[in-house]
Amino acid sequence: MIPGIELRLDSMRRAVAEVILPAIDPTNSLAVEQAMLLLGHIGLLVDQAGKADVYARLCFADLAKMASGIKANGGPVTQAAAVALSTAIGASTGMGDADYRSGTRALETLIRAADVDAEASFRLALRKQVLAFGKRQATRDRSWFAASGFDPDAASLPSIKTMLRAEREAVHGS
Amino acid sequence: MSDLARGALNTQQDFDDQDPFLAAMLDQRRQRINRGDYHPLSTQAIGDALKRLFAHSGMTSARAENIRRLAGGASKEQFVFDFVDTATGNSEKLVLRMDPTDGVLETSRIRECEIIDAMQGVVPVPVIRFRDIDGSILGGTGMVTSFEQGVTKPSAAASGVTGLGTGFPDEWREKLTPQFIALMAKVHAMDFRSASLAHFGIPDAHPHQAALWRVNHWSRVWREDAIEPSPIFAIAESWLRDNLPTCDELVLLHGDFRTGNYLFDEATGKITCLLDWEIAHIGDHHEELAWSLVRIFGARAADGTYLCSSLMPVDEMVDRYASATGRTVNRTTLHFYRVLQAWSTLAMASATGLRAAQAHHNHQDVLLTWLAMVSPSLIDELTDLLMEAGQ
Repeated sequence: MIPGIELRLDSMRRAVAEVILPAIDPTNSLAVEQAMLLLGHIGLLVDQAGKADVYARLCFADLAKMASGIKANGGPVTQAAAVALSTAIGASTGMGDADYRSGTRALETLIRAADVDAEASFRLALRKQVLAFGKRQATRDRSWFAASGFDPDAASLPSIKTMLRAEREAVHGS
Repeated sequence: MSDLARGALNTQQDFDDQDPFLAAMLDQRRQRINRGDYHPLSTQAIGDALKRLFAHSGMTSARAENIRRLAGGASKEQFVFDFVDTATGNSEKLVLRMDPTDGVLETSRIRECEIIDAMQGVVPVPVIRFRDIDGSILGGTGMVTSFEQGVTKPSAAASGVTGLGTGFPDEWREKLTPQFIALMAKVHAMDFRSASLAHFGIPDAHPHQAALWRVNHWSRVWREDAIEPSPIFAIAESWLRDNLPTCDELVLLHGDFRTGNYLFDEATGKITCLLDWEIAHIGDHHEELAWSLVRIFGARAADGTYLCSSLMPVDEMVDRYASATGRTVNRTTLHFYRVLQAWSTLAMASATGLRAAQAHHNHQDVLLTWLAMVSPSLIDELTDLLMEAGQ
């Protein structure tokens, strides 16, 4: 693929920063803000380029591992949702993003189903499992989007590269 | 919440008990769902629309000059202009806020106008000069207010879009903190039952209704807007429905009371105006305190202490508020509302905002997709709060 995605993004960043932004009427604060946001988006895309699929597959692997430990206990609504979750995880296509979306959708459905007819002990256990997973996912995502500047504790987060290496080791043991 | 306290309520399945005015507002929004792309308005079009608005108010010789777009406002169209009436010789700098098809959250212009009118003389607020609450004149709902002097951050301070991440030097925190609490106390002391707030629901049918209305509102927003699943959103909703607190005293809430939504005079340090009243409502005072505690609305001090709303540590805020109002701050109730506020902010950023961007229903799609990147921090906060609650 020539020219590559990273090079094209970088050239877009330079165009916005060095040509387009200086040409904007400084009193047009909306246009200035949107140009700055473009720069921000492009910078993040540069950081994430070539890593998105690897990242999504690692997220899905953690989701699948967590889901495999769910032992549903409840009425028909809960049981059906648990089967659907198992099916969604098992039907992995190898496309990380689509698999992750399908898996989390089925998990959300199970959580809501548990509110209908699950045993109280299962609801509590499910919450604990999902929260533990949610914390891991949020920590990963905070690194993934750290350059947005929204995270008050961004300085404590590993870089995307370091985070991906650690996640790979956690999932695959190497 | 015990079954006894909950009474006949089935809070896990009761989705219908909502503020009737907000429910009607969301009903109306559904009619816009299939509209085409929204395009930013030209200053020429804005000038023509304003001329119609002035004429509708009987000022046929008035016009808008020097119309300039403003940034900020999260997802509203905002313009500053000079109002000039050649018949009277009157001129004044004014601000127009208009609603695009959709934004980061749906709010009611009629409620915003009512509350700004009601707060005149109570706390410093802009004055509404013109209004179009059904969009029949401007082409979209909107209002024109006085232009208020002041800044949202000191010139030397850093901040991001919509005032998020504003960091104040110590001297500014010392100046602004007492005023921040005093203004919040004044808002909460307002006699809302005697005010002209015809479109504000009062959740007093049962002791849990204030909390239940908030849960049901944001639950509905999520169900109608989410474009991606979120297991943590569902877990948090389940927990909230299990733990609805009672409310002993209803108060008027600004709803978005945080740094970034007030102006202050850089020379005197005095807060000159409270802005953004669009999500004001009647509820529990813990809800307002909890809003200021949402992590993304704060910053770290040099020693690492977390400062809510970039001004003060959590315990200081609770103590100052209790001292200023004489109200008790129940830590369990505060915790409930902290979960609710992180959860509702998640609905705005990662559901409504992204839905608007996906549908091209806003002129700031690039801002809305940027704002959605707060979601990991919000989910991290939600998981921490729920784990602290013993889940």
